[in-house]
Order: sequence, then structure tokens, then C-alpha cells
Amino acid sequence: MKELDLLKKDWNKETLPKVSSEAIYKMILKKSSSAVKWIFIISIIEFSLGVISGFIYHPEANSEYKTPWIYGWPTSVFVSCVALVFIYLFYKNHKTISATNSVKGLLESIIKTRKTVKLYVLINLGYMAILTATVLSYALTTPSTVTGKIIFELNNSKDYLIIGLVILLATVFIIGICLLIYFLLYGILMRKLNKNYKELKQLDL
Amino acid sequence: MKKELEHKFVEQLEKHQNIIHKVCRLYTNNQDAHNDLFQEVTIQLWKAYPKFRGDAKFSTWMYRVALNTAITLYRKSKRSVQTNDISDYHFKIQADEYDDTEEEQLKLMYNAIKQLSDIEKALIFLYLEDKNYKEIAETMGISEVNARVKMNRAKGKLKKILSP
Repeated sequence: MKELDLLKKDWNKETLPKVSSEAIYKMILKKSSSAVKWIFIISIIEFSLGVISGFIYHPEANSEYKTPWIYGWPTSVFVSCVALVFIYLFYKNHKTISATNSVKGLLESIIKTRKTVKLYVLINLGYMAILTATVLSYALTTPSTVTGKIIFELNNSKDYLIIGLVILLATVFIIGICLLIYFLLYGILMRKLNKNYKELKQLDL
Repeated sequence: MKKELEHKFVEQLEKHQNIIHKVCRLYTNNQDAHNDLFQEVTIQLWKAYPKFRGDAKFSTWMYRVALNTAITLYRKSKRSVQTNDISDYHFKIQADEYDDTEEEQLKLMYNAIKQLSDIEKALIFLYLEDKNYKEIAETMGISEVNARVKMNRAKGKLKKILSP
């Protein structure tokens, strides 16, 4: 290609800016603002939220009834183990992210690290959903609980349906807003990475 | 010990800084963004420097980190204003025989390269740096055959942009 060869000929002749060693010294003291740094910060927040919610989220805690024993210490042990395993995997994956890898290798390790956190968040959300559903169904169907009593006293399927719908809509709305913020945040951070990774991967097909 | 490492790093970087400037030139559109990317590459190089064993050449190692930063790690900072005015801050050619048409052609070429994807820009950059396909494949993490295929596609795309 004629034009490209012309550029190649002149490529090294062009005047380039010159940065002094003093300026370089100053630069290495500054903080990076790379995408990986932000992914790392958000991941840490996600893990913290997951771990904290495991401690404070006990829908049965203030109730007058007891949930099945399975929601006692076995669940706490399980949740802690899952968190520890994921934090270890995240740390291990994050360590492999290095700017000295090949372009594809670097993109792969970032995406793998991201996937680990995503899986942890999904497992956490799934666990909370199961816990909520079990506790709610227990509370609503057991006459000995306060909520159960109300439901049984109402004895009207229409009211029952409205209460259920309001709870459902409110939950969906709150979760929807959270997910929107979450995906927007990651969408912005991961857009460039995903696009470039897709392009390199397509080439290998 | 750290001071010594710092000193060695700054010395080598100062000597080879053209590599970073050339990457910045292809991936940014104004002086602010150029400076930003230069700084981010420098920080990434410094972070990775303790692991640099010296079995590769410092300059070869720089290519990787600079391209990785431009393609993957760099996020435009708020103060960078997007403009397409490449000629305003990009470099005057110091050709022995100054030629207007040649300069115009080069300007068009730069404009065309700017329209390529990040990956294609990297391939064209490595081509301009006279790297062979083995080195290009290693830097990008793809096979040599695929590097060749992708390079031909990028060149084809450039041709299409220049003569639509």
C-alpha cells in the first residue's frame, strides 16, 4: 500500500514531544486511573456487600417463629465458605492481570476476574431469593405467626392477592433500579474491553 | 534500593519515550489526551518494572505495556476533549525535501488510521515500527497466520477509507 509505505518512511523522522526526567519522576508518583483499578474497587465493594448482607440479612430474625434448622449455622458456614472461596479465586485471578501480557492474554484475565465476581453476586442473590421465599411462604401459611394470623383473619383472597402484588412490584422495582445502576457502571467500564476482546476472538474462529 | 530502581527506570524511559509518544499519537486526538495516556503508560510501566527481568529488551517490553494500556487499561479522563483536529497538535514532518502533497497525503493517512478499531490500530502501529509477524503475533496474543490475516484486512480497510 503506497500511502502506508510513505508513512512508514516518514514514521521515525517526525518530531515528537520530549518529556523530561523530572516530569517522569513526578508521573510515577501519581495514581493510575485504569479500568482495572475501577473494576477492582467495585469488585471489593461487591464482596463486602455480599459478606455484610450475609451477616445482617436474616428475614426470620425479628419474627416470632422459627425457620427450619437448615437456616441456622449450616447456612452461615456455607455462606462464609462460599465467600472465602470466591475471594481467594478473585485474588488469584487479579494477580494474573499484568500489563506485560499479550493484548489477548490481558483481556482474557480481566474478563475472567470479572466473571468470578459476577458469579459470586449471582450466587448471593440466589441465596437471598431462596431465603426470602422460604421465610415468606412459611410466614404467610402458618397461622401461628403474626402475618399468618392476619392472612387467615382477612380470609379474603382478593386482599391477599393485592398484598402479594404490592410486595412483588416493590421488590422488582428496587431490584430493577439496583441492576440498572450496576449494569450501567460495568457497561461503561467493560465496553471497550469486551469490544476489543470480541474482535480478537473472532479472528481465531 | 528503591531510589536506584527509580533512577534506572526513569533513565531508560526517557531514552525510549518515543515509543509511548507514537502510541499516544495513534490513540488520542488532542494534546490533553496525549499527555493523559502518556502518564497512564508511564504508571503502568513503573508498576510492572520490578517484574521486568531484562531478558527482553526494555523497548520490546515497552511496546506491550504501551499498547495494552492504550487498548485495554486506559480510560479517557474528564479533561480530555474529543476533537478531530489532528493536524493542530500532531507532528510536522521533518522531511529533507519538504513536499506539500506528501504532507497532505500523510495527514489523510493519519485520519484514516484514526478510523480503525483499537486492534487494527495496534497492528498498523507495529507494522510502522517494522515488527515482523512473529513479534506482532506475540504482542497481540494471536497466531502468526491470524496476525497476517488481520493486518491485510486493516490495510484493506485503510485503502477503502482513502479511496471510497
